[in-house]
Amino acid sequence: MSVPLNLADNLKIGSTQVTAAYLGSAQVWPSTNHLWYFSEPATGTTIKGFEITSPSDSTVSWGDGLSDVFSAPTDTADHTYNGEIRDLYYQPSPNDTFVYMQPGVTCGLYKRPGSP
Amino acid sequence: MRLNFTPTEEVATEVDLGTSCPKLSGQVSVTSYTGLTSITCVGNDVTNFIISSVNDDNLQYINFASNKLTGSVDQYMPQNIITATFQSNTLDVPLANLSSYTLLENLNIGSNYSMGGGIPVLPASLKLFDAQFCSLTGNIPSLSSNINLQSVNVTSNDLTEFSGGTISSTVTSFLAENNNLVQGAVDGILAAVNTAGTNNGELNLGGTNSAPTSGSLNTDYIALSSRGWAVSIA
Repeated sequence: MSVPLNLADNLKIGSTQVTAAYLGSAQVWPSTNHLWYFSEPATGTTIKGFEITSPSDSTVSWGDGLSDVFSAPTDTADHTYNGEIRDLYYQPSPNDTFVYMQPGVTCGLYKRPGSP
Repeated sequence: MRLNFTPTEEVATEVDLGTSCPKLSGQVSVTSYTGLTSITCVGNDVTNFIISSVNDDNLQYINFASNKLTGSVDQYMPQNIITATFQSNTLDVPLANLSSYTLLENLNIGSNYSMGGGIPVLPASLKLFDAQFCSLTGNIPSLSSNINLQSVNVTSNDLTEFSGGTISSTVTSFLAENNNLVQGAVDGILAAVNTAGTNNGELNLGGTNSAPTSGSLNTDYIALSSRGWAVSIA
């Protein structure tokens, strides 16, 4: 009997989507390329001077449903959390670099494989 | 069975996480950012900063001042680090041997009050060493091999001795006031700085240290003062 092999970016048990995979206690998928992990910020929490230098544009998704585009090569933004925190499920565009901040989960930055 | 995972490609070269208010804590990880050369995270309450061998080649500038990092400073420094700023954290493990950091030029670990321990042999590449208010004990090590050193600040520790040797003529600032340096240590530092022959520097051996031999009539003290050095002694 052969076992269907799913791609590592589309892990499933039967038809049920897997949201994370662990090898021992280490999360191996999704990518653990988190940049900043912090607990859910209090209403009014502000981050000032968030700055990215990158050869391509970046998008920051702050984790509360709002996002900002950071222009290459260097761009800066501030952000204030409004208390309406919700989970972030984002689909990066193929050629974009992303910083994502998921309160209670992750803040990360990456570029999709295969993009220029 | 092994699940192979290919990390995504990272392109950002510099990231400044900004300053949060109220301060955000949590942890910062750059283990997937192979191209990152600089990361700044100042004035937050971050408790952990995770690096790995993938950061050894490129990550050379780290500023995590005013956070809540614990442990030892070397766990936060990749191999090719040039500037490491970890002042005003809660580092609580004494300095390890730093000689393997052959590119390290600036190390600021001041105001980590629970660090304790001694000062190891410092890398020859070092230009600036700031370890004030770190509860350091023991000797100020020989600095003879630190030919690039420009500034030393070990103010307000509990250092007692100086291991001797020369001090490079590149040094123009040597601050060690408010330790418990014995007279021999004060004499030795004065002599070493004087022998270097530099003009117009700053040397502070005052406060709680011992006075030098002959006090303000110490010949090295007089010689340095005559060459424009601002010298303070107990």
